[in-house]
Amino acid sequence: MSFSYQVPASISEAVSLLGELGNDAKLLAGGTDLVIQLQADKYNSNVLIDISRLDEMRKIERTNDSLIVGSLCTFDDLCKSSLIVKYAAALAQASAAVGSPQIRNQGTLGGNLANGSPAADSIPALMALEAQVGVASAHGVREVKLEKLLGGVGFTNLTPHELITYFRIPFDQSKYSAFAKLGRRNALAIARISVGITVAMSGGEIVAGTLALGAVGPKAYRVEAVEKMLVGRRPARELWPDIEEALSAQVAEKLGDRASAPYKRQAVKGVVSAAWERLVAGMSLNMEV
Amino acid sequence: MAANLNLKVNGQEYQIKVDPAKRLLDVLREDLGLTGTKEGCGEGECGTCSVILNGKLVNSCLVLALQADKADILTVEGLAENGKLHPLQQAFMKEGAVQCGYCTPGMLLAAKALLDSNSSPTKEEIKLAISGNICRCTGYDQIIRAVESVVKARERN
Repeated sequence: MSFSYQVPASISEAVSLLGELGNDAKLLAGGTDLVIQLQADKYNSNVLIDISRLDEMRKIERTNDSLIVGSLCTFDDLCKSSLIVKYAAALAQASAAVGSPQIRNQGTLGGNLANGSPAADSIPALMALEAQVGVASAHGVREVKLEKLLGGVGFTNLTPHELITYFRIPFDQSKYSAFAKLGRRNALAIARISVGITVAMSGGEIVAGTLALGAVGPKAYRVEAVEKMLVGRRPARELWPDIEEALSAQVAEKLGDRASAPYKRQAVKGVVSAAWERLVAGMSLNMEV
Repeated sequence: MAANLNLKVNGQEYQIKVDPAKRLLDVLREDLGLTGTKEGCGEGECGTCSVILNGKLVNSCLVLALQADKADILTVEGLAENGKLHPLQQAFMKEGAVQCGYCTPGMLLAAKALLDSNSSPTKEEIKLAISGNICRCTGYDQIIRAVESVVKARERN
């Protein structure tokens, strides 16, 4: 294993390096996945482009209707950001569930997407929050819906010349979100099932909802059948058995006769109710204020 | 293709040439001779290679050395000052928080990183702070007690 190590000083330098060397290069952000892969000699890339110092991609900003979250924000940055906690609770909760304190200090949001793991904690949260992804290349910046970038196990639909620079998360005051995951232990657990959920409220009723599932199949996805069931209902207990059954059926269909299917189609009920309890807790907290 | 690396480790400046494939862990142990930092799993699961990098606890097995260029690093060797063990080290000894000792450098630095950002953590916060560090002698209770005793001593002062 031998490679050259490039440290671009700006996004434009990074994308011009990618334009030139992209087919032969890997991007290094936090390194928590990549360094292990390098050690295992899984890459034949000749060039490593270290973007970890590009602080212009490590900001969290609020516009009128969105949060703009830099792709180099670490999970520790995200779970401690008051903007994220307030307007994108699901992402704060997912970030707090990543790895360990060490991993959260180092791992980045952009890296979590780029690494392409079906169990990436941030993805169902971002997907439920309907995030758009800012992607830069030598030709400029494009904004893409997160779903469109998920390729499959270990890859995305980005070209080798593109760089994830930010995530745009739309918010409005009537929307609440939450995340929950099932792992084999609390710390350092790879998610077996993860759920991101949002509801938009009006007059005590749910007017829109999203639900994304992670680690069930090769990539995270939205479950429209359940999303439709949420609309027009009150966020009360009575709603819940229906949602659990619908999700369980969805998991059964997705996993077919895979070995994990009998376990996951039961377990998903517990995971989604944990997410729901968090969401409702966030809602009542807000009502008191 | 060796590259220049500048590091400040435990207050001392180093300038060396390294292979870009080297991890921070390798440079600390092999190039600088600081073997207090241990390698356990080599994939970020066990935490025994933990060091404090620019104020943040990280697994040095998951950081390429060149990523730490111009960084300020604290390893277990830098905890003692003027020949006197750090209060956490003293507490680990007093509480019997060391058995085989392999996890101890990482545990000490995880506890140090916690106390640097939170001067009076609760037991739950202590548990969370060492949740990325595995002790296979299962001396967690003693480790938590050691950290608590430092917190209490600080509160008394």
